Amino acid sequence: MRLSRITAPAVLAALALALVTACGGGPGSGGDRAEDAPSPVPSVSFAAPKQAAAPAAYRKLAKGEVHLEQGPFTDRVKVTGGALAAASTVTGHLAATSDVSELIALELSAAYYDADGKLLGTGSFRYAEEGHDDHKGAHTPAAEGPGIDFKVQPEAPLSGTPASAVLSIPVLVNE
Amino acid sequence: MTHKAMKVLAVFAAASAVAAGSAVTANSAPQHGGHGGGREIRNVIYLLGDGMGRTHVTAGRERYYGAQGKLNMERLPYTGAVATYAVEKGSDQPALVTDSASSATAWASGVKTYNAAIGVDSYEKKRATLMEQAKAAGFATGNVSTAEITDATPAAQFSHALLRGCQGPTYSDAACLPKNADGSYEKAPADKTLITPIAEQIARNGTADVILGGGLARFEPDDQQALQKQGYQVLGSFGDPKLPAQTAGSQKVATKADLDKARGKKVVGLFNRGNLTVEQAKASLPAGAPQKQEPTLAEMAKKSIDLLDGRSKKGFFLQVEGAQIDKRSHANDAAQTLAEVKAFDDAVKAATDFAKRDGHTLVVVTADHECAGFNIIEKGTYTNAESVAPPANTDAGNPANNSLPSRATSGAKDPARSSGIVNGAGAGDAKNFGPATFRTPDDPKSVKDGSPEASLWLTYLSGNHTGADVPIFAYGPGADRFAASQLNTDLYGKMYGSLFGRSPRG
Repeated sequence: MRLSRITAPAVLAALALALVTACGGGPGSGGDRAEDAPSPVPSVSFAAPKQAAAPAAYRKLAKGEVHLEQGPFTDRVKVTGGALAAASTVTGHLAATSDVSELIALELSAAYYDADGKLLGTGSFRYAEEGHDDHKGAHTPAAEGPGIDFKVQPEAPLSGTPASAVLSIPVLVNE
Repeated sequence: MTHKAMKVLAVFAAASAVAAGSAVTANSAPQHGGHGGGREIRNVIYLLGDGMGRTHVTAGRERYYGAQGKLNMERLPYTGAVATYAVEKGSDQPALVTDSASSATAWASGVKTYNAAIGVDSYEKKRATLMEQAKAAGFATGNVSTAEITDATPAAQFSHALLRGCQGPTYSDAACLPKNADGSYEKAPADKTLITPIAEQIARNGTADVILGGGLARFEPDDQQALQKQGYQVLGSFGDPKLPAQTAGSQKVATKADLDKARGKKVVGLFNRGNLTVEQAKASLPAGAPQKQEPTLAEMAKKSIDLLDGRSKKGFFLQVEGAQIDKRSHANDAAQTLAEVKAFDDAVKAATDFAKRDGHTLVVVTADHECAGFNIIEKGTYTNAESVAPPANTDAGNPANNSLPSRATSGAKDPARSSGIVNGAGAGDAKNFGPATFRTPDDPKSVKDGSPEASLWLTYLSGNHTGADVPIFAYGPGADRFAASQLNTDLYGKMYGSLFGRSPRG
């Protein structure tokens, strides 16, 4: 087909438009550019995340006892030497036992009780590595293998002198 | 109007129609998926070996099929490479070594993000995932892993979290909120989804129709109820709703026998409370061991394909992860690493067998990053880490080649740093780290693993991820698009194009 001088520019312009449009939107074009804004997220939104159950208001334990509460991760760790020490700290040693991969996040919670079994307050110990710990250069011991010594301290002043504590493990994340 | 003017308008109208047609093809949701080589693409199966670098593939081939053999993934007709770097949080500054979360978000959502991010960009903005988009468009969807199903790689297709550790069962600041430079936690985001435990999200968002893997301990009875309300067949039991917290005693893991019987349109099977058992360890357990009831990755892949195939007229999108290649590479356990490469490759066969029968299925096989600097060293040699000093760095024949640091002599092997082959004579020494030696089909039958005579000598550089590119293999319509050196974010655009026949624009 031979195009006249008048029609040729129009055809070329329109075909260029078609080519640009088709090339820009063809399958397989990269998805890394900022202008490739994906569709709105169709996933469900959540109003509030699920919280761990609050500790019991009353728990009668032997004086000085540190009780490990059974929970989702207690079968994956071994806790030894749990003790209620000075300044209301709960100390001990935790080693991950059943998962072969590296531990990247761990949280221990303690609920403190007085001699009558009344809840006095709570405390926590947190261990994190990888993207969970932004303190670059800070050396933290590995929690897998030989394990890690922990020290749980009250988050706020307790309402009395603790006589016992219940330890739980709400967070345990492996690589 | 003159004849000339009419002619110009007519030509413009015709050409514009072509342009408009192209625009429609490129930017609207098509009735059918993409095309490749003249064939319609209905299904996409994306398999990844977590931590599987090029050397993992080579070593797997040599170990199981010999130097002239091929793994199933190596038999796929198109090959390429994928660059995997992440970015620093709150910027586009490259962080050259990625973690699984950032890498999975790259191919699932098409954006570079910070390490530990799940389904959010570098600025903590939630980004749509390919699995969510496939589900919204009417495709059947599946997510399969040998890790906890809340782990970073599967999670990035069907959840959004500021930190990968926010897996559940419950929220905690430490697991779910990033820290500021001063060590304090960031303010909770307005969109609480981003700090909602991943297990809670998965159980309620219905993004994947088939969910197979580990991680039962992340879920609770209310999650089971939420799944069942959506029509899922839940294998095993998520626990006793009367208990304040679930334990190993209150939950019941799913079994391969449960999976074999599963017929639901939507199925959840969690076969371990944590990660699934490493195949090599499973093989050495007694017959009655509960871990023996876990399915292999190939069995999960095959079953998920059976469940998804034909479920939707559109087709399906399935992700399958061999997670333990990475986990065992972190541990520098070459024997278990190789066995996991083989187990992953068996899953590749299950996928490609289906794709060959079906004719409309694209299979993509790759990795999220390399792990541990896996290397094949020459038989009888040792690494720098085992020597008293690195190799010489001077050239006596041509001193112009001398460089710094100047080392006139090579280091010798240091007996204190390497007490022998780790899967042989040095197995009892915890300080020992390499090499591990393995027989291959090319070795005489008398040669044993862990002996100096075995021909495959393997070492690790570190216990962490490296920034090496990873291999990619592809089969089926449109597979040629993956035969390139590409970014991991490009995989999103290419798979999107395969499923939807257009590029990923809003």
